[in-house]
Amino acid sequence: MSDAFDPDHERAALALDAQIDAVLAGRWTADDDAVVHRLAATIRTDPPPALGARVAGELRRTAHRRLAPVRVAAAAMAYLFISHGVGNLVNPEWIARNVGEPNSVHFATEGGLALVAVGLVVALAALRPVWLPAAVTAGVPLGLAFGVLGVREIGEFNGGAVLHLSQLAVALYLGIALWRHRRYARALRDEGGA
Amino acid sequence: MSLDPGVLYRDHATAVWRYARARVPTDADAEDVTSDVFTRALRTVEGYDPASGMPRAWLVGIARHAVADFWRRRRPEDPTASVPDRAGISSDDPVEAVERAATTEDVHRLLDGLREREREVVALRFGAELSSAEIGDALGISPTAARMLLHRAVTKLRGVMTDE
Repeated sequence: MSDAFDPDHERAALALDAQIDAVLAGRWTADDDAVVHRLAATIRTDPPPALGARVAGELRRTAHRRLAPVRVAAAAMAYLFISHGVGNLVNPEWIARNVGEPNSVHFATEGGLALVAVGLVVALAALRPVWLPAAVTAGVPLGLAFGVLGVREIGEFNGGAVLHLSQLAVALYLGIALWRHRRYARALRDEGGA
Repeated sequence: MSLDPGVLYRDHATAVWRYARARVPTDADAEDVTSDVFTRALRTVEGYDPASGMPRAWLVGIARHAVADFWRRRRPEDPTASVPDRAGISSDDPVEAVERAATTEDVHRLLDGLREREREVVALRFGAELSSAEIGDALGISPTAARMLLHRAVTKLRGVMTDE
């Protein structure tokens, strides 16, 4: 874009601009334009200290609102994992009978405990969104793997298939939703115990 | 370059605040606008393109919209529109606070005498501390035109300040 300005005015504007740069950088001299000094001194006030806390609160509230559906998904995933794990612990024979496999109480117990542990991490994320990245890291791959097992169980053990496909659906939703809302999770990273 | 909301606030709150304070009548209004800017930034951060400018210029762009919305919401007949907010000025020294308030009030009154675009360019240069090139980008004019606009505004202010 070419602008046609009076060369003298243009030179004066350039000199003023350089002087403003110097003043804003803290290089004040007695020869500076008094108007530049006054503008720099009066406009450049510091924000009130309380503003930081206010903005942090607003950001937290916005993040909490936006993350509400993600937290509901985390709660659903936690419920599915914990109930699955508890089922393994209290009634492994019933599961073995339905899937037509030999019952190994040892493996069912270990698997059940691991599921409850992952479920608790995901439940924690439903309560405190700062844990969502950890919940997604632990829960989403597990949910996807269960989804594969669920496909195999269709027609063989429909109760199991429904459980695993539900875990798959929630894992997909949770992973995608958190990715879409990752900026809100970031906003809560330093939240601490809120 | 971090787009973490906390880091953005730490690094750019002062520039946003100063710009907002130069554009709205009171400290309380500037606090509202600043808070609004960072909430909007959180909502739109995924749309931020680093190639389009530094975060400060992006935040100041949001601040310009927030200020425009502030004035749209404000009824023109609002009798408190130009009443300065002495209570909002914070300082440990009450005398200094009052003197500072008086000076700030004076400058705001003088800025009110400028044309809208001139007031904007003064706020962007002295408040947000954008360069002439960045101001040109923000206003859709060349850096030279931005410098000339600023020069005209400062010349006008010089005239009224020496008349005081």
